[in-house]
Amino acid sequence: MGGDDDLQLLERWQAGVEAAGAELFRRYYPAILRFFRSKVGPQAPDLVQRTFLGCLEARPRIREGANFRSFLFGVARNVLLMHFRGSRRERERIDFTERSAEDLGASPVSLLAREREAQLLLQALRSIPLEYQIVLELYYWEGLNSREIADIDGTPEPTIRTRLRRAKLRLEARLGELESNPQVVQATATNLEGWARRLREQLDRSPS
Amino acid sequence: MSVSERQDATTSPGAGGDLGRTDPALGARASAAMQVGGPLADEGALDEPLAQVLMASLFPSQIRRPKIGRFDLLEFLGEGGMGSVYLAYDARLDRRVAIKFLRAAGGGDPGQAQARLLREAQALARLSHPNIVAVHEAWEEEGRVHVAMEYVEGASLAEWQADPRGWRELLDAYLQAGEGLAAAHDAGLVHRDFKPHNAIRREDGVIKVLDFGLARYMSEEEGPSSGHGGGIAPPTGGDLTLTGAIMGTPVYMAPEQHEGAAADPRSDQYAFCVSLWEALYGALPFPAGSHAELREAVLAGRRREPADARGVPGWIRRVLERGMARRPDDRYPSMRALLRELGRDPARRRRRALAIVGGIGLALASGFGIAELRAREGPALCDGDELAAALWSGGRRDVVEGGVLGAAIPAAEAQWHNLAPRLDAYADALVERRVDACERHRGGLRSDLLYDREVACLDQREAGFVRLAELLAAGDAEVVLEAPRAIAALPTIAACSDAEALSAEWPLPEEPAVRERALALRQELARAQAEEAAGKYAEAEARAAEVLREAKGIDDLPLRAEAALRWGSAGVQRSAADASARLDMSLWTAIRTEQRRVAAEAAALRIFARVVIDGHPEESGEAIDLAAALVDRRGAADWRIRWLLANNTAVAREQTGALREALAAYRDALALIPGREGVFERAATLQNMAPLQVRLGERSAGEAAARASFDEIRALYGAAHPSTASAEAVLAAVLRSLGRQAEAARLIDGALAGLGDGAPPWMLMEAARGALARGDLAAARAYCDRGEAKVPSGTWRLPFVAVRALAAAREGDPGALAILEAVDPASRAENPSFVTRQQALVAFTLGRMDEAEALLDTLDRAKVDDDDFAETELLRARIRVARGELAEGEAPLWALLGEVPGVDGEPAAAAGGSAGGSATPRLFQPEARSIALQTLAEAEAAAGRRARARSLAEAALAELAGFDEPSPQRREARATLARVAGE
Repeated sequence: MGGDDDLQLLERWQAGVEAAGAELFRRYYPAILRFFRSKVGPQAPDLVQRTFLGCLEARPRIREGANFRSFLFGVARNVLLMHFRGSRRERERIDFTERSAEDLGASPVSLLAREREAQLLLQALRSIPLEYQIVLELYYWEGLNSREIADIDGTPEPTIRTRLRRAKLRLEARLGELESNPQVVQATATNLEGWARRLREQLDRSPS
Repeated sequence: MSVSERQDATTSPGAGGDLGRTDPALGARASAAMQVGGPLADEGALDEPLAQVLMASLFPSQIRRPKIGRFDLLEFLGEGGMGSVYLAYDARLDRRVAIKFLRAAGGGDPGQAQARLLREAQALARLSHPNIVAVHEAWEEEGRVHVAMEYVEGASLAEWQADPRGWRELLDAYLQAGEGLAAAHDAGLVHRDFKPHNAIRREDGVIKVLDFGLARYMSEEEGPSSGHGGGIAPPTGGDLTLTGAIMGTPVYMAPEQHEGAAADPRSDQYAFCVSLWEALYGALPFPAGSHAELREAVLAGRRREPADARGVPGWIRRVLERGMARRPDDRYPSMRALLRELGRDPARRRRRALAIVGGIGLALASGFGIAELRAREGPALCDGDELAAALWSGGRRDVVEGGVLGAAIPAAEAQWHNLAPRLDAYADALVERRVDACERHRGGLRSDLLYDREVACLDQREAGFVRLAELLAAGDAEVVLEAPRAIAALPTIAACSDAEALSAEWPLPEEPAVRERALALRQELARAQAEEAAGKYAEAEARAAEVLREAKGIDDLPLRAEAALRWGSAGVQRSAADASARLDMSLWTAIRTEQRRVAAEAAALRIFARVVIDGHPEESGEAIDLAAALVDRRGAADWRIRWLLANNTAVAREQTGALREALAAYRDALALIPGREGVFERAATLQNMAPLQVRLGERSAGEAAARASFDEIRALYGAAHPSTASAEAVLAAVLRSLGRQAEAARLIDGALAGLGDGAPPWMLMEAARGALARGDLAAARAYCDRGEAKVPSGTWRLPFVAVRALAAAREGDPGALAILEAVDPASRAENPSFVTRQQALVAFTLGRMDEAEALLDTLDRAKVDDDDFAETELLRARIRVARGELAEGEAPLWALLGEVPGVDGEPAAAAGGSAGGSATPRLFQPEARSIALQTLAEAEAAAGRRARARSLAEAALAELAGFDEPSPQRREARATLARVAGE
């Protein structure tokens, strides 16, 4: 089962083979947990669970030619948006290209990051619009390329590339506001690139 | 340690103390994430409990629930700076606990830090106080310290005070938290990190402080730790929160802690005052824009004026200012001294007294007992208006009304109008009795000892009443529906003034602290009792089990007996397999402590547990004798216990087939219920008794009992209530068996109309059988349609199919048998003997005698109960007589009938022994008896004994006295009479 490809595993899981689901869980759990951890507080484990359960219901929505990773992050993204919508009192429409995780009541960052620079970066990420945060994290942390990100919710690839550029500019601007010491901003911005490289290497090596 | 040092400590390598960091099992991805994400990394590993818990719930067939120690981890609850918290199940003590996985951190040798943390956590396990989250045990496993603690559901004070609250309410909550801190100080423990996030407010208003003394071993980069019920909420207020929480600013920390000095109880006092200040004024007393700003302001003692005084009296502010003095020596000498000052407000003191007598969860710590309060606050206790306002009219009544009206039940408003007068009456009686007791005591008419006991008793009554009110306020549909019964089941208030009973009660422990604890736990038991009455059996069980555990801790044997009784009683309701064992524990303990009431109640309940739950009716004799002896010894006991004994004795007798004795015991039970009380008890006994009376031939008495039961239930629940509809249907069933088909049909239609789609299958079944009995085959089929739609398969489907087949057979439809044969195999397998018996009846009705007999021959007597066997024997006899095998048919018919008034039976056959339990069961339903007699009449006529045939046919008609005229049964009987007489 270890050598099977993701989509085969998904198919078997959807046919009722729990072992196949467990294998998928093992492969993607750390990434999905990370995805939620940076955006919501202690509800993250619950949302992780809902995401994996969502795979059983969302089969028809897998896009032609898309890979499982995009599909899974697409489910995770929906779960996240539902979570933020559901936790608001009225069923008001939330524009996730405007509101940030912080606006939406995510809990403090200090639980997640210990290093000062990492804290700053996380704080900045959470104070830019949610769609920007998602796109940056998927790109840098999870090593998804713009094509894969585009597959997640059917946005055209060029739009994603533009969004990425804007997101990075927004993030840097936000870092500057949060930290008056330019050295720290510099270090953090460099660190962002550093993560991306290190993480991508890891992700490329791991089976998927 | 200064703020900057704290920062340094976290950025130096290895200081994080992440135990997971050295774990070789971590996946490559997770270790990469660790470099960026810090602590989020260690929980991303697949072998971590979080992943295991998630996998166990997603893939139960693949992954077993992870265990830590002897606990099964159930759910992830939250996380804080100290590590993660899980909900877990302790199978040994059958309870849920919260387990913290602690990260030891800080400088120095990590192994040593771990050992210290473990020692500290184990010290906590010895601390027991109602305002402290109890630590059950602490142990080290897999390189981590784990602490299993009481699972408290509720919001943290931080979350709770985020909603607008009056200052009195806030002060009350904090006074409770303060009692917890004071008790810890008494035991030599310092909290070191008190803040609103470290106190949980339980649903019933009890505040519990969490995480004593663990702060100094925590990871330095500490965030607000979550109460384990809720999520992490930022503190209230403006600027402090975001920056403060994000940077881990110690906004509640005393100046000496900022300076790196050791924390002592006065540091807790400081943190307590900062927290209460924030709660009252909605902002922190010190600016907390940044670490540096906060530290500077705190060390300089430079407070910020509240932007809005919010009506908080000046004296409170002065008390808090002293509690936040820069120098520890300038603060109050102890938490207790501070609390006393906060209790100085004259108006407040009265309220405090009310909170205590009100039992709304304010449990007192040692040294501040009821006696002391009474000395200062005598007058308030005698003031009925104030008492009533605090208990009921001053707001709680409105909240309960809101809950009832909001419940998802039909006719919620009618239910409230039904409940309100009962609740009002109980509250009034409680207040009246308190005022009365207070005045008699003041006037010197009541001794201190008796007065204390009376107040303690009233406190328990009130705790139960308030718990019920809370359950109602929550608007739970089932609770609201069951409320009339629950209110009726609240223990009587009058008993609290029975001097003789009070002096025979349990002895109060001498030592004040233990005594207060014992009193508080007895109120907990009263809450458990209220939960049981409201149908919240699991909650009642858990609460009683918890009291039992605590009672062992304070070595209070009488309390253990009572707690085991409540635990067992709730267990009986849920048919818990060990209910008998729990009641045994209660019984033997209570005999040892000479608690006659407890022993008697446990013994009476034990009869039911033995006979019905354990399935050992043969043991009922011993259980009944023991219970009877205990109840007798008690003399003028609570009538409910004697009723319980009589009713349960009757149930046991009925189960063993001693029907006459059972009926006598039911009559005893009824006689024990006093005139205006015990509506539910009377209804229950009547409902048990009515079918038994019909069965024993006391038909009009049975009918009267069924009617009386219905009237009682209707008076209790109101007309539009499902329980009333059920009682109506039960009455309809009794009336149907007595041939009152028109009235039965009217009742059952009324019950069904009231329930709409919510009608249970058994009620539709009764309706279908009623329609079949009165010959309305179309109506019978219509009910079958509704019933079958409700039950697509299973044992409940079978009776509908049977009615359909019988209806077809009555019309002579040869396809009738095929209807039963077509039953799906799964449903048939649930009760094959029922299907066979119905097939035989259908075959007989169609005149296919051989087929019917062949079917009867396949039945296994061992698997058919007596009543059903009597019916099959009747059918067999009818087949023989129809075939002309007269002698073979007649003998068993006489045996089935026993004595028949007005007919000389065959003496040999009539001597069948007492009804039930004998080798040959008897027929008791009028219709079946009439058919048996008609069959005998046909046989006698066939043998040419016309006179005898005629008197038998007349007896058959007489059996149907009281049946509707016209009715198919009477018509048939008259036809038989005409046939045998006319030949």
